[in-house]
Amino acid sequence: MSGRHRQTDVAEVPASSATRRIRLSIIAAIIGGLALVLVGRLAFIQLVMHDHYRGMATEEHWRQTAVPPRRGDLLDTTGLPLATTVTYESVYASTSEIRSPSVTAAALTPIIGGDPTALTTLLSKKRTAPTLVQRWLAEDKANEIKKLALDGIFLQLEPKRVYPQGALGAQILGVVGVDNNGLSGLELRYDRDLAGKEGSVVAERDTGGSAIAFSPQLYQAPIDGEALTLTIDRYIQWVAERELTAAVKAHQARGGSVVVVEPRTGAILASASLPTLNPDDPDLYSAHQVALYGIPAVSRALEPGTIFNVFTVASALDAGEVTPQTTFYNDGTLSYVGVTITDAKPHAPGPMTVLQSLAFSSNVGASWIGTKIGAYRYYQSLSRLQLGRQTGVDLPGEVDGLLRMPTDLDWSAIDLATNSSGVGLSVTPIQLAAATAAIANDGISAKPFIVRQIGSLASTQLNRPEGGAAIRPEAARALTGMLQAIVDDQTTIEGRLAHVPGYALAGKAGSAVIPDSTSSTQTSAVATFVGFGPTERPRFAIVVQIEAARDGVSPDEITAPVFNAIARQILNYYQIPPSRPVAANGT
Amino acid sequence: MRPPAKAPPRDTWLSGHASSGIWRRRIVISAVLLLAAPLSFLYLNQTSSLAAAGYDVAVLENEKKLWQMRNEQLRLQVTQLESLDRIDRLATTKLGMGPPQHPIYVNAPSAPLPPPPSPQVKPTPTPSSLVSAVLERLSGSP
Repeated sequence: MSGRHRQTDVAEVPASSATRRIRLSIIAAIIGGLALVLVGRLAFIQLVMHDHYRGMATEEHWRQTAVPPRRGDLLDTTGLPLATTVTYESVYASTSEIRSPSVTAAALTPIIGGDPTALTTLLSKKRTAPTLVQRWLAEDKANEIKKLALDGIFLQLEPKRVYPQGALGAQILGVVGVDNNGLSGLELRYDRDLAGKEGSVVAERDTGGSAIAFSPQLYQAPIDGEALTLTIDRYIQWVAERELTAAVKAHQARGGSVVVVEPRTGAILASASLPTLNPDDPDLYSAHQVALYGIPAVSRALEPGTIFNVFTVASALDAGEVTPQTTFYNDGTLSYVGVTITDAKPHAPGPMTVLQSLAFSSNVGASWIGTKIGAYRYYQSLSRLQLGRQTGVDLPGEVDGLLRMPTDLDWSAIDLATNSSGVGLSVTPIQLAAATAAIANDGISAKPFIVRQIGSLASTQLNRPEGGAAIRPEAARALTGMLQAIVDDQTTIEGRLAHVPGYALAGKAGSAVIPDSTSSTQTSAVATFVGFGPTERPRFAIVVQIEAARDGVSPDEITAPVFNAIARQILNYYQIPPSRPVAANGT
Repeated sequence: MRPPAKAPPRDTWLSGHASSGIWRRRIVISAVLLLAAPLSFLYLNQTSSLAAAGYDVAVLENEKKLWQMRNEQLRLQVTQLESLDRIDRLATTKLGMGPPQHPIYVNAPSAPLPPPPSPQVKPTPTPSSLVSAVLERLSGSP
């Protein structure tokens, strides 16, 4: 039994040993294979993919953060800020960290306002990127939120463009988008100078994403935007806006513009328009507000009407065709190339001087003068006065207006007669201001401009081109005398409403009837006044334009008082003493 | 017969050398440990201090930004208080002021101003006058 058993054992041992050896070999081969795979993988990662993983590790620990530059300020001519950038705290939510959106919303809404349900919905949307809850909080509100220490709610510093003077010069200054890019006005025109250049910081970050102090950092400082010093005088701008607003309101007008220019240099001292935008309006980017982004003083060209007689007379005096006392017979009508031109206001037929024709705003007189000059000289003269073409002012959206030249295919001979009385053409208020300033400046025209300086005092001062001769000095002085005589004459509207006692001012009111933009059948009046003063040494030229007044007052009687009010306050502001005796009652 | 010199036990001889080596090693290790411990402590302390300082710097930088923000907001507030709309409103409603209607300009006298009074200052003696004064004293002349 035992022997058989032993035999059996002997026979079985080699079999099991071989099996075990095979099994062990298989296991060893598998382990060896796996080890080889692991070694191979390790070698692949360490040797082949070395740069890739090194880059990933660097990205994990080192992060580049943009350092935004500060947008440059817009300063008035005295250095007071009209637009500046102020940092505020904005509240953001990391929605993935908020456990109960409704509780968080209930805690936030008493501070930031708004609808708790809407905020709950906003906070319930789980996003990886931070969600903006409210931008630019006041300091007290930000502090209240900090005290709450809500999970997933954090505050972030963000710059905001602010306008310390409110809506003063809003259209001129322009609008900045939430991404700090200029959208209109000077903010758009000088965006490159104002925006500056973004900097960056590359630093080792901790798990919270904050830069590790004293670790090596690569810092590239941002270049802040340059401040722009404007020619706009805060006080004159404010006066212009106040008087324009009062007139538009009093006469129920659709809108209007006022431009004040320094005749000698072309510097724009004020440019006001109505309707205007409110830069503090929460709906600043709505379609209604966007429609007001333009600057009507440079972008809205209207038919000038009888105010254009001033420039027709300027052209005739420059050509030497007339003098203020040149007389012609005016029976109220003028036939020219088969077309009859009539005076708008009735008068007795008889001789009329050029001065009387200008004071009376005679269409017949202006057309007679225009035809006397001839097309070539007339349009050359208008072009030199910067009428009917862009002045090149440094504001966006400037238009040419409409002034057909004899070389244009659509020009006809009658255009000379109609254009002379301000019909069949359109000009912008800035063109009228530039032409008026040229007359005030002894016939030398200066290109209007609004940015006096870019950057600090030490940096570049803008070189302004020298003005060109628009009309002869003798012609300019003769016209100044005529315009002064109109304002000094107490029988004229200008004399009654635009005259400032003690001062020699020059000016003229005029109007045009144009098709109403809101109706295809109705017309509306555009009232314009151009003037300057003091005539001995002009310091300002003013253009007042009021559109579609609905209270029935004569257009000339609307603009003259606005000129008077602005001129009076500028004279006082500049402390210009009267050049003529003033009675005790101020007359 | 002199008994043969007893050789020191092999193991004792060996153990004597070995023990001195061990002791030397122990002393070295102890010394290293004694040095390493405070060095490690110093290193850890430095590292933690650095981390704490880094945190403080981050907090201070954040605080600086907040102060800068407050400064900007206060500047804005000052400019807003200086706005012409506000001044006009206060002048007309609270102080009862209005725009000047008939400003009067007074001509300043064009006559030249009288010269300022000459100061009564004692003339400082020049070196020559000082020398002559000393000589006068010495010579007794008045």
